Amino acid sequence: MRALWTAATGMQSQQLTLDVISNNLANVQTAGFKRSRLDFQDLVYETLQAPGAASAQGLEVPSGLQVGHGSRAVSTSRLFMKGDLQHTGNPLDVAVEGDGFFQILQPNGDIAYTQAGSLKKDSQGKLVTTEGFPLQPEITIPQDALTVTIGVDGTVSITQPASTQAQQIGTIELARFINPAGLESLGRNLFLPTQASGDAIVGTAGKDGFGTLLQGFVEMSNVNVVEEMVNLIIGQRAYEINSRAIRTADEMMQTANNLVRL
Amino acid sequence: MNPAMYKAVSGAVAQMRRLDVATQNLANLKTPSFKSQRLAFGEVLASVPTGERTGGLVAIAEQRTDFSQGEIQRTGNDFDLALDGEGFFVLGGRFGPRYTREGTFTLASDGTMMSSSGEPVLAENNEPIRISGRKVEVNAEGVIRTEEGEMGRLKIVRFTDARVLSREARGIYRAPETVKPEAAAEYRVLQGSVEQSNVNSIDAMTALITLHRQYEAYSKVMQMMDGATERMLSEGARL
Repeated sequence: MRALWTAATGMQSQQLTLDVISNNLANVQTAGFKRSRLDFQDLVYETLQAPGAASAQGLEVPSGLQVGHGSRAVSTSRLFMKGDLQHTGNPLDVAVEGDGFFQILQPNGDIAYTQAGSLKKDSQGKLVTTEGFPLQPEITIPQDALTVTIGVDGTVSITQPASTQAQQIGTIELARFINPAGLESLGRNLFLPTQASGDAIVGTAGKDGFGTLLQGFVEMSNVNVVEEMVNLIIGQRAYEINSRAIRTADEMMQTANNLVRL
Repeated sequence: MNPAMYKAVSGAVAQMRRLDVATQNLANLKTPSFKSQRLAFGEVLASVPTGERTGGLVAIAEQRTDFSQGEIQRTGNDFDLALDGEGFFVLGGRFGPRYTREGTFTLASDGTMMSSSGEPVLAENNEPIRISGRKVEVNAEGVIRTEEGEMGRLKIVRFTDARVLSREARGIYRAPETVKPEAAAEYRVLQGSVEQSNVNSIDAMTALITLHRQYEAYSKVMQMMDGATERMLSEGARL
């Protein structure tokens, strides 16, 4: 009775789907969050009869007989579609409109990448993420700065009480990847490059296909609640159907057991 | 033994095989580009005059794969390529060409385009495709471009008789060495999309119900045959 195990793999796959959907739904309000998708593949097939094999009469059977062993989850991939942009008015909230990640220096010295651009100032005026990880290249805003302006191309300029002229203090650079779906997720909206994503390509916002920066906006989560709910329903039904297959297999075995009358 | 007993047993065994195939379809309801399978029983319970006692046995005539198009779902990932229409992507690797419709591709460290299970995706010239650049664009004909120029065109092939294909795991098909595919024409490559499984859950559920009931019917026949034999033996003993 292979059917029991085959259906069990189907149930396991759907259980994992539920985990991924719940995580997406839990992050409906997480700024810069990118939803995940679970990919499945079919498992090995047992070939009971190979296609093209000679049948008893010396004729070829045109198609074989192969029975599979179910499905399994192979990968979760991030979907980097843009989330909605929400106006906050906070001068240090920066959203990328288009393609591009901010570069963040982690405490271990590695650069991580994020699209969550709600930046803060630390005690020295350095631009950091909510966790306090500094933005790369580092930008320090003087303590006496009156206003901070971040241009569409990433230039950061300030005005100080002494002068009427805006003064440029740095540029926010963006990074992009040829295959962002291959990025490794670190949590806290941070991503690390992998072999599959390719190396980071750093550039200026608005040039060479990079997105532009929008000051005073936050990119919201790209989770679409309706879509997730539909996926949840489909996943639940698929789970039920597979459990139904287990019951059918079970009842068939019971029928076989009851054949013998003692 | 009554030949009807053998017929019923062969019928019940066939239904168990159907169960295996139906559960495989159901387990892959959500597997991208999975193609559902079906068993055909030539003529169930028809008399095949191969001999008095074995006539009418139920046998699996053929297993068919339904290669119909699955639904296309948008993902927005540049390396998700869905085939709308006929054909297969061709994968290279150590064991020779393999065919798949699952286009959730990725990159190797040297920029080679890979299938999700790690085989290189082949271009029309049968070479792996190396990608360099920042942004990948694939058009409907399967031509891959980045801002550095054309990287190659995906090789998409078709088989005149797709029944010769045998399945390996991970959505991959293998063709016998004698069969050579031809270039496909009736297709569109859709970038940023994934082809869903073409398993119809209602069909699969119906198959599950009918095979269950047929199995029960065969087991009833077996019990009736058993009862008849029992009566015959006990009445024979009285004579």
